[in-house]
Amino acid sequence: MNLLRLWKSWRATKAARVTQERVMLDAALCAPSCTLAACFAGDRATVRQLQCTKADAMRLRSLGVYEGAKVGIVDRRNGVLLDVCGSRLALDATMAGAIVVDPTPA
Amino acid sequence: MTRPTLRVALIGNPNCGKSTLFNALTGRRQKVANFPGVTVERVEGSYAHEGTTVSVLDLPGTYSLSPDAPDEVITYDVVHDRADGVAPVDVFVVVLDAENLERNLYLATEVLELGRPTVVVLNRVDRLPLAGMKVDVVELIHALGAIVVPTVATTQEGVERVRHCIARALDVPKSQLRDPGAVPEEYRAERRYEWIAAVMARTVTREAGTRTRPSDRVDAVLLHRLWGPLIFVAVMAIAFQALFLVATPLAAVLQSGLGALSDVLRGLLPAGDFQSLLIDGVLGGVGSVIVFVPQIALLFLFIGALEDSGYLSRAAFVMDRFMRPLGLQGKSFIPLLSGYACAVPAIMATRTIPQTKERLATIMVVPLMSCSARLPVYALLISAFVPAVTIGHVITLQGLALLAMYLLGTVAALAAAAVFRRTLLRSDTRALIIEMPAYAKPTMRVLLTTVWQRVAVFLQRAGTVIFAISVLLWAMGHYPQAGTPSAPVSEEAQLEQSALGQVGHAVEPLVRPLGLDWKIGVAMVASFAAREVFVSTMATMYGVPQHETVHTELAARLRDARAPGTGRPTYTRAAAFGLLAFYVFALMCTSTIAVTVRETGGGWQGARWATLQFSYMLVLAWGSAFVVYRIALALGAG
Repeated sequence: MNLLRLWKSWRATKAARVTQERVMLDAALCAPSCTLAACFAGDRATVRQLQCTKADAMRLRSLGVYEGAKVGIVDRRNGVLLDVCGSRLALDATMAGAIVVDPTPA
Repeated sequence: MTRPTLRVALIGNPNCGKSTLFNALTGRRQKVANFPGVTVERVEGSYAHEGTTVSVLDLPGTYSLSPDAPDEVITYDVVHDRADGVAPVDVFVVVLDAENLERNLYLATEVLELGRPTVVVLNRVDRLPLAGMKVDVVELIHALGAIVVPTVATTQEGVERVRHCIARALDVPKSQLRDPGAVPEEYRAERRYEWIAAVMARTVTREAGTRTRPSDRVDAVLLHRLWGPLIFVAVMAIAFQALFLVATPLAAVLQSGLGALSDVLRGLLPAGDFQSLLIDGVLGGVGSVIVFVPQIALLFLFIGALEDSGYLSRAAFVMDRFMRPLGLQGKSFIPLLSGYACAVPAIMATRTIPQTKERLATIMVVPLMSCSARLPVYALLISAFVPAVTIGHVITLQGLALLAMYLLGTVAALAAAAVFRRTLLRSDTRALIIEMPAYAKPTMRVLLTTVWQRVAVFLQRAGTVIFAISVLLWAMGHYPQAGTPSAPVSEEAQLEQSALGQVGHAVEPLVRPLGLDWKIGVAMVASFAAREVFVSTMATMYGVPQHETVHTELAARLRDARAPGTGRPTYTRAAAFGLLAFYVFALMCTSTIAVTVRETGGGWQGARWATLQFSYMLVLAWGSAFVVYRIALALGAG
């Protein structure tokens, strides 16, 4: 029973920390844009700018990540997994850090 | 009378079912080659329809018609009729994955804007209900201004309609879609997507709440930072175990079939040169080719299953983190791992790597991974020269020595890859952007066609070279003949007098600084046919009969061999260690050389890469053998 209580309290602490991070992010959202790397799983975002090489930008655009595209963040534990036009696109952290978006928190 | 020919090119995104449609259209009438001067594969096939021969070119998967990405240049050149050796295309067939219609339409608009006869194929329509989507095909035809054919290529549904529409594509009015004009690239993409969004709104109805897929939960585990790589390594371990379990007995069955055939021939033909040519030369040559077939077939069956199920993209993503510091990418991992079994299928497996320089770097270093053919050589030398001492009742010194050989090869391969990618094969590191295709059940018919293609390519291109070299090495071992039919000489004497023996003597000055003699030189040259031939050649030279205990007896003979005159050991422990290092690094394998030539573009271009591969590995091998020999001598292992 003690173990169960310990587990529950750990979960509660973690949930509190996530909420706190979210509050901080929401505050930061007053500044309009951030990169995909700063978004949370479940968020949707509108792509504003591609700060990468021309070839990478062309590739991203042909895959549906263009200036003005609406993307969903499915998972972000290892890089970012995006929902783009209904298909799934995996980007590494560096690439995610080069895509400036306007997030819409879930 | 020759029938008129209609030239068709298939264009589509990767993973849209384009190759499946190609197989469904052309059946078995296919040939695989390379586009001139590049390593990009060119798959062509044909079929007859209403008295016309339709030749179909399956272009590499691409997301756009931009010439910026080096690997998409081929598609760009073909659609603009300026690819070397490719006749102008009459009809383009754009294959769309119905489930990912919005994204796939981007490439379709680019092709339609060319104003050329085009048929649009809406593939995988059977998956639409699962994805909660409905597509109004008639509305899509109006929107695109082109013929749209719904298909399920895996079950051949709609394929006959595609053939029919291709035949009529020249007669229907062309699409009125036009390029957005001289606008910056970002606006061009935006305008196309705006147009696509309007088309999607008119043609597609989506059930609410279907944006998240059940596969997202699976991806959360398979793409996890820790679990992802662990699961991948486990999958590979199981697959290679299965591969080993099935391929080895299959190869043994094929070999024993050839053995039985040679016994029959031996009974039918009189003993002599002709019998020896047929049995040892021709059948031996066939044997050295077919021994690779089970491995190649199974490896490609496995890679094909991984690719078609959608897992290969996930594996490439999670392994990329480990391969990137070396300048390689996630997909290089499978060929490198396959290299432990055999470099021949491993080099062929690099076809899954789309980027040319990454693929070439992987090909160049794969033969450094210690393959299974090196094991008999390691086993012989280690059992002869490493003392059978047990450390702490569990670890044997001989086992440690064997492990060291494998580690040495692996470290060398990874280091060589890093060097190649920073020098000769330098290119900008591409950002990691990988599409994760939906999970799907692989289709056996499609998998078997791919496996057959790979085996056929191997037999036609590499197999013939391997066969020819095996026969050549046989001839070198038999001629000129030392004895006469009335006064035959022993096998050892014949080998010494033969061309092979003379080559052994000729290379002696090169192996002498490594503490080795001409006999090792002969065995080294003979082992070009296959590394394990080193053991049988040494056995012939030391007069050890070829049976089960050949290893033990030969090991003892090598240990006890004394130089005539001085009475000192012919092979010191230091020289044996040097020889081990030599076999870790040297590319003593004509099969690998033949496959490298074929896979790096063929002809002179392929020969240049193969020469570079052979030379750098030989320099590395000789250099390290020399260093190991000298250090071991200095440490008193003389």
